[in-house]
Amino acid sequence: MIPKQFQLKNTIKHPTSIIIGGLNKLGIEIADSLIKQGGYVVLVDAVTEKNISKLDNFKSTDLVSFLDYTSIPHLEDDIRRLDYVFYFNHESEDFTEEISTQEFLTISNYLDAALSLSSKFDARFLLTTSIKANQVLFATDDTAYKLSMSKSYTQAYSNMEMQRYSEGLVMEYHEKANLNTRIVRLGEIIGDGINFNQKTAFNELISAAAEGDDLYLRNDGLENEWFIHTLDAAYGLIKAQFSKDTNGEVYSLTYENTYTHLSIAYKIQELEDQAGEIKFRSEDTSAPPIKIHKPAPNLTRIGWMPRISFDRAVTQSLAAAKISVLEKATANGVEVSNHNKSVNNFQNFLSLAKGDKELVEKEGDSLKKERIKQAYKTIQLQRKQRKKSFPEKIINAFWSLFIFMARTFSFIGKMSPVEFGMFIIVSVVFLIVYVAVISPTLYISRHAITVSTQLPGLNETFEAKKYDVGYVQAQEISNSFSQIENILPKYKGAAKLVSYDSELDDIKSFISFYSDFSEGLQNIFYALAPFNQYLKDFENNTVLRKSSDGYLSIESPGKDYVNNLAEIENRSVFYEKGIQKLEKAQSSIKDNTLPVLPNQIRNLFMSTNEDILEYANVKQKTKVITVIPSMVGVDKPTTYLFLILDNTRISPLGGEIAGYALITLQNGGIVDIEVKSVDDIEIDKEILSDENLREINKRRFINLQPDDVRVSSFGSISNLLELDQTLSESLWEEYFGVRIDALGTIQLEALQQMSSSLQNLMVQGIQLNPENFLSDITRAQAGNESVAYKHEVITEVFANIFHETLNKINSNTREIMLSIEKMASEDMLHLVAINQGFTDFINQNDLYDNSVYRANTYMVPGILIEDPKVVNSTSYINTTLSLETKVKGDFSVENSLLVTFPSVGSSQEISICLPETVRLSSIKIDEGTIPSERSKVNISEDEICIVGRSLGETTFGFSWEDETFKNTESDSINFTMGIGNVNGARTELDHIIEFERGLQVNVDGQTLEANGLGSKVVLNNDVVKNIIINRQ
Amino acid sequence: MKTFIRIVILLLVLVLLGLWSPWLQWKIDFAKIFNVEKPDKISGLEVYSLLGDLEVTIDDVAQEGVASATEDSGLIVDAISPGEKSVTIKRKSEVSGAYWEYRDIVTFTEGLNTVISLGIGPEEEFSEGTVITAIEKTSENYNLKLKADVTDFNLEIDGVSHSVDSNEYTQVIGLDMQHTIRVTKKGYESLEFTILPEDQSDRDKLQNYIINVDLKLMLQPVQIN
Repeated sequence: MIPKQFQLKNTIKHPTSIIIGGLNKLGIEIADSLIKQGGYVVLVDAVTEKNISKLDNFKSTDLVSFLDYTSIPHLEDDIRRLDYVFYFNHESEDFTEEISTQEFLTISNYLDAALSLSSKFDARFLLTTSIKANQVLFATDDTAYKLSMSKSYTQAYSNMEMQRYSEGLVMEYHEKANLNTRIVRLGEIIGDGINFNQKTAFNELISAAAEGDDLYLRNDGLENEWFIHTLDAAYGLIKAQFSKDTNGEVYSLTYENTYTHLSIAYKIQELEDQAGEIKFRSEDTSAPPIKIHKPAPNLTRIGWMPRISFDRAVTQSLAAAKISVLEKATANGVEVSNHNKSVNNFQNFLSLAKGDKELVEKEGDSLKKERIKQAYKTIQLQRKQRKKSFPEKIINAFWSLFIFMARTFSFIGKMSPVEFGMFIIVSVVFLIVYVAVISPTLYISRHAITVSTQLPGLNETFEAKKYDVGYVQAQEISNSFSQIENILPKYKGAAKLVSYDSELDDIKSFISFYSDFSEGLQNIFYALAPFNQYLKDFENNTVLRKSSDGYLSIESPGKDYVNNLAEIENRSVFYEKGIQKLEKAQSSIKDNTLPVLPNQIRNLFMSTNEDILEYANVKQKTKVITVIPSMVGVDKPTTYLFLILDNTRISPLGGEIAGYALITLQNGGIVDIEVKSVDDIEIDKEILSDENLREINKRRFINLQPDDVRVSSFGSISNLLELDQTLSESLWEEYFGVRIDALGTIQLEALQQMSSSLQNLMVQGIQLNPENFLSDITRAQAGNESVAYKHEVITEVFANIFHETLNKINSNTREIMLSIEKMASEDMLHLVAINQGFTDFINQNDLYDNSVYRANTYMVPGILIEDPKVVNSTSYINTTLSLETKVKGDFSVENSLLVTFPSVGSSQEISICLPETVRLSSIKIDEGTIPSERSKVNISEDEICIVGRSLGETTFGFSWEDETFKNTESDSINFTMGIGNVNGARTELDHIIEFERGLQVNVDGQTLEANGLGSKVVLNNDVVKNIIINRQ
Repeated sequence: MKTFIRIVILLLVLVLLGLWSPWLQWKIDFAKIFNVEKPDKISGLEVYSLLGDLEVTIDDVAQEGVASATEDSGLIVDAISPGEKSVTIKRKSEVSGAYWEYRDIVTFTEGLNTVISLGIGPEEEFSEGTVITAIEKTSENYNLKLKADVTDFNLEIDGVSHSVDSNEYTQVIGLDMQHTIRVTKKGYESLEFTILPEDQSDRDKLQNYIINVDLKLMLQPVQIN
């Protein structure tokens, strides 16, 4: 319906104005003026043919559009630019006309929508209201009440209330939404654009004059009116909108003086000959009496002046009235003849015209209200939900951003050149400081926070042996350090400025240490990560059983883990490199001092140093993992023989040999397993040599004969290497039929430790509880008092624990590994190689420590219980070694040892082995402990063993001299002294070292006081003390 | 209020942007933009064999060609990105596991070649060779660092003898010529090699670097008195 040239244009180049209610003379004048200045104008009014025809005033090239009232809700999305809004709210045919609450809300929502639109685009808003409405409202405040009393309660508002509300809403937007607004109260518009639809006194007089009728004045005719010519109004409104200082102001736009009805009538009579006589008419009007009203300050305040005189305006109004009358007469087909006829006709026409006028009025005003009502519905719908398509959303988002940016930086357009220059300079300086200093600082802080939060957690990951997880964490930390390292050089210039360059170099050094450390850790985790994968992939292919074949067997061939294990080998170079970097970094951190730093930063560095130095003994803790491929049979099958020791029936080896486990591993999986009681093994006595027998009897009071030897008899050999030599390869291979690569022992107490990380362990129908382990084993024996049965029970315990450990190896890795480490460190688990290849492997990797025998002098105690009645022990044995060492002036050493032990069973044999260098004649046994008839000295090739048989005694004491170091000439000697713990028992060592005057003795770096050294320690392992003696 | 909120939002954006700081990662190569030729930031590896033919793998990627002792030809890999890389060198053999495998992390320095000369035997102790790399100096007062897999050995640099107690030796050497180094230890085969490039211009590049030489001596299987 709207011609294409007047449809909305999508332009952003031209300043855009909207004139709401603008398709009238005033609006068109303003539009014309704006278009001539290069603007784009959107006229909003009711779209009717009549209104469309008014657009003929515009040329095809003019930037003007015409929209209906209903378009306002959509304009937010459709328009790209909005600079000025003119909202015409000054026209109303009857200000006292009542409007319903519904209409009130509708109109106010519409105004709100217009204000919201202006707010979005930060446009300048001008509201026009009527001085007349304000005048009437000012007259009384109870108008609304009176109106409400006139009809029903629902009709409580009038047009003038609407006007007041409109002004209030606009001011609210100004105050709260910071919208640039102004309110202009217009006088009654006269002249060319006079609106004859309005029921005003002036219109009545002018119309009457044009028709040649008498001029009737209401009441006394002294009512004042405010007037303004259309063109002056247009010019004034433009001035008000564009002037700087009008924001938030209310102005009147009118002639300086008011005119009474009577003076208007006189003026009309003066200018129009046809005008009739002036007559007065009493009117019973509900309108309140007009008081003297001072409207808002006139727009003349900002330099506006009316250009068209009142006289001229009246003349134009008269002319317009006549044209209007003629047009109506022609439209109704009534011809104009002579004056009188025409007057009559005019009168006739008038009545018709009046009727038409009312029709037109209703059409015009109610059409506007109807359109606004429609728009209101749209606004309501919009507020609920207006679904937009995705492209629409994108476009809207883009435009919203663009408009936001334009508004944000609109202040630049208001700057003077100097201000703009300063702004640019400040912006550039800020940008440089931000990019060069602030952003690197923030960037470094972010990485520093990452590191400080992740580094402690990394240690936990390391302790938990989650190397695959640790690798990722270490990578992140390493990346953070490397980023910091890269950024620090950027501060060089700034540091030089403030003479902080050497401190910056120190900081860079520390960061490089941290970087090396994290790279080293990353390398180590990378190298060890395949181990976690191996454990994750590991499937237990053993199955528990009770048969003549043993307590465990293989269910299936098992998986091939060679890929995982080969990867451990391949990555071994990373491990070595990582250890180097880590140790170098730790050493550098210890050797260097932090520069002067602010406290918080210094604390951060110090805590990082502490976190890094906490990684102690990384190599010792992890080295074994790098050799796991060899240990689990990657190159060739590896067979382990474990002897299961019952250390409630203690022996010098650690406990009575109760069972054995023969395990063959290949490519990481178990390919063969045999777990049986040792009572099933029969030894071929002919293979036993005299040497073997001597070893077996070395720590025995009563020597065994070859026929008496059982497998359990070998428990009297304390040194695993010697056991290995005694049970030679040929013996093992002959009996087991396989080549054994490594021999190990595992004590019952070690199995108890392992059980604490496992659940659901059952033996002979009894659940094993780690807290009541030994009692549960006794219950499992179910009253069977034989040693052989106990061996079976213990072997079954081993099988269960082994099987369950394999089941849980991937879920309980940390607990299981910690248990194994603890068992090894507390001498409950031993491993020694049999074949040469494995020996080299174990020695190279420090997997077996027999340092006590490598000491210059040593004493290794042992206890042997073979009483068959000792089968139900519910506790392990506690022993004490009270050792007194006296160093003489000639460097000879005199020792006296008292072994304290509990009385278990009817008899037990206590033995202490010394190196063969001890002078036999110096050995003196304390008869007060065990009498000499129950003690003896056994001599072998390399050792002297003192053995005592206890029949209830609980101590065994003796002394001896070691003259190995005797030297009267030398001023100083240095030797090591090995003290073994009692295998299988909890041993407490109470060692006192005394020395003669004139000597200075240093033990393990500590120089002894004159009265010697006393120390009481619980031995978890054998100890080797380094002793240096100097003659003073 | 609106202004205050805007300022707060702006500060937040600046802080978040600062924490991210993508411009710190940008490496704008003006030379490339202006089409100016710059030397590429790459490293190289030269492998020479003292025994048999050697195959080289870098970060599990097999390199083409072999280093051959018989043909006296080396294997040159000339486009390696700088940094640490895992290098594996195997001696070609029809029998798997016949020879020891060299495996190590080598640091490649931008613009410089790493030179590895190896004689690989059946076991590690019967293998010998050198790995020559260069690392940037920081504050060291030497430019040559020799590290051996043995301790207590003798060193001759251009005929000048040095006795080394530990496994490391450092000194300053001139870059105006190549240097001959000979390492001897009782019970081990002696090892002689030359360091520094032939061209002076290449030697000049090493001005701010430390030349690292990792030595491996071959154990003599039979004691020679």
